[in-house]
Amino acid sequence: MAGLLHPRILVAEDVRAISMRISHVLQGRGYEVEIARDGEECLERIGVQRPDLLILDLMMPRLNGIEVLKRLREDPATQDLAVIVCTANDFSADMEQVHELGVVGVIIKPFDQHALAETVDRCFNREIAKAPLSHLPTAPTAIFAPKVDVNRSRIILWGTRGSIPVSGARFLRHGGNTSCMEYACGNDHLIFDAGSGIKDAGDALAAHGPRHLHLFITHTHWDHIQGFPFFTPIYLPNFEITIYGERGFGKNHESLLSGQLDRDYFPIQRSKLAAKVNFRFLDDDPVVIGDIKVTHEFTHHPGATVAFKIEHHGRTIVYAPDNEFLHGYLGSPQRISRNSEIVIPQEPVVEFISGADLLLHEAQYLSDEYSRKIGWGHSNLANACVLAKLTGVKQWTVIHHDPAHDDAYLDNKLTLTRQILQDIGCPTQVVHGHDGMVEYL
Amino acid sequence: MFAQWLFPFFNMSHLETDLLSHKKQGPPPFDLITQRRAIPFDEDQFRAEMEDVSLMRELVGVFMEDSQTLLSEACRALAQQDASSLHRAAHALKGMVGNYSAAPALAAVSLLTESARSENLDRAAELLPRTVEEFSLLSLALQHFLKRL
Repeated sequence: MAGLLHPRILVAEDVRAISMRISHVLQGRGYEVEIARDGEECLERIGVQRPDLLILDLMMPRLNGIEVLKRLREDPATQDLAVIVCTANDFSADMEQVHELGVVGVIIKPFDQHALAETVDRCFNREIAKAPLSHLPTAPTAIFAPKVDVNRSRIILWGTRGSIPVSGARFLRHGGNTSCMEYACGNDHLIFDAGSGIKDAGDALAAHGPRHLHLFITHTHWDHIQGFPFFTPIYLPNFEITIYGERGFGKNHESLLSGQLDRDYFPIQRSKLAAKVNFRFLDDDPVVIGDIKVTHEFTHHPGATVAFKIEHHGRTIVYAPDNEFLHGYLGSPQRISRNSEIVIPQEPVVEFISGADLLLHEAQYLSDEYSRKIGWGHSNLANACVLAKLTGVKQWTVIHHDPAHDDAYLDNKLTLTRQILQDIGCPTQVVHGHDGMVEYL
Repeated sequence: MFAQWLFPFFNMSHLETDLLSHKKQGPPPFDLITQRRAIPFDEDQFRAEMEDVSLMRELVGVFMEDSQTLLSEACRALAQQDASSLHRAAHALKGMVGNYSAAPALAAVSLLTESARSENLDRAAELLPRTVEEFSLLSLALQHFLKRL
């Protein structure tokens, strides 16, 4: 093929972005390039155009690349056509077959365009075209390909916003769904709170088929229950959902969750739920699901509000989305110790959280906001940092973001959080939770 | 109607609408994208590898057109529990996104491809929304990039 003025190259590739790049590179080097979008079109074009070289994708619609190659080798008119395979498919079995069928080169995608040009140029200089197969470049056969072990226990944050859902570009990275977290391990799925994030959780769980789900409600404020009517599994037969909550100070979690299905609020009533739904009150005994233990403790928040502790496989995770730690305190965090008078009323929750491997806890307000919202049940950032220090938690994921705080604001707030933790000598690692965040434990 | 509303995950048009809605609104300020947990694409690397402005323009255009089509095919295949079609769509998405220096989208769609290839549709159902999200963010970033080209 050497000496051709404008060699003709046929590119058989169904992905336009790839064929476009290949064309661009080769046309820039003086080659005439034609494109075929599938295996059958490739064979048709070869019959008509008689290209000097075929660049062949292996996985194509209608007729795959291996089959194209076989047919070319069976036909005396095309059995000597030079072929370069360009594929993302790096399985050694395919590569062995490709080499047996005779190719002049293999390029693994995503490809480097200089390497492509070099391979094609060498082909037309006869340096590779006539080389024996044993001298051909070989595809990698032992690729280190680690995979995520999805059976490990994990936390999924389906909703990390407090108070009310938000949407729009300003909230793109952290998300806008209200409180919902899932703890999953094997077939056990524990869901915490039923804010608007539970809708996505329910859609994901519904896709896995019938199962027994456990839903824990920290309290019945709107942003922790508003997603319940949209929780897909409650409408599916063969699902069983056990819902745990405190007795409350009047209306309990059963009456409040079911109340959302009242005809005045929603088109489907409780009597129409297809799943078996059980309501259980929390008591002093832990809830045990398989080898997962769940306990609870009251937090400082209006109404009967609890935090949950998950103990599993030697790890402890505490979920406390609503807790106004150090009620009314606006002073320096440096001045607070475990023995401080202001800490003593909250000793039970401090003790409950102490030593956790992972704490999911709010820090909803900065001091200027908190000074106007004392008693609303949410922590001042500096006070939440004190809680992290006093409890010695290893990792803190901040949740229940204020609906007024957009991504840019939260970025600054996270920087400030790390600064405060550093200043008070707290080694806890802190990150911001976001909707869709998955943490393998 | 209620079933569609209740199961939007299986409703392809919902996903298309999500992607299109970003187009209608126009891209947000770029710092919203670059400050995300992972940058949708490495602009410097993309420029260095493509070396040609007209090629980059064409590639961005192709991405806008083809990614939506392929994502819709993937959603349809998953809704029909068709592992083979899902694998074909995911593989094409993977091949396409490999040209944009877009590590997060490539990682997401690679996992999806692998789950479809092994016919693990439960896992694919978990991975597809993440893939759609990453492609949506990449689309926004590329639109903004295009304006500055």
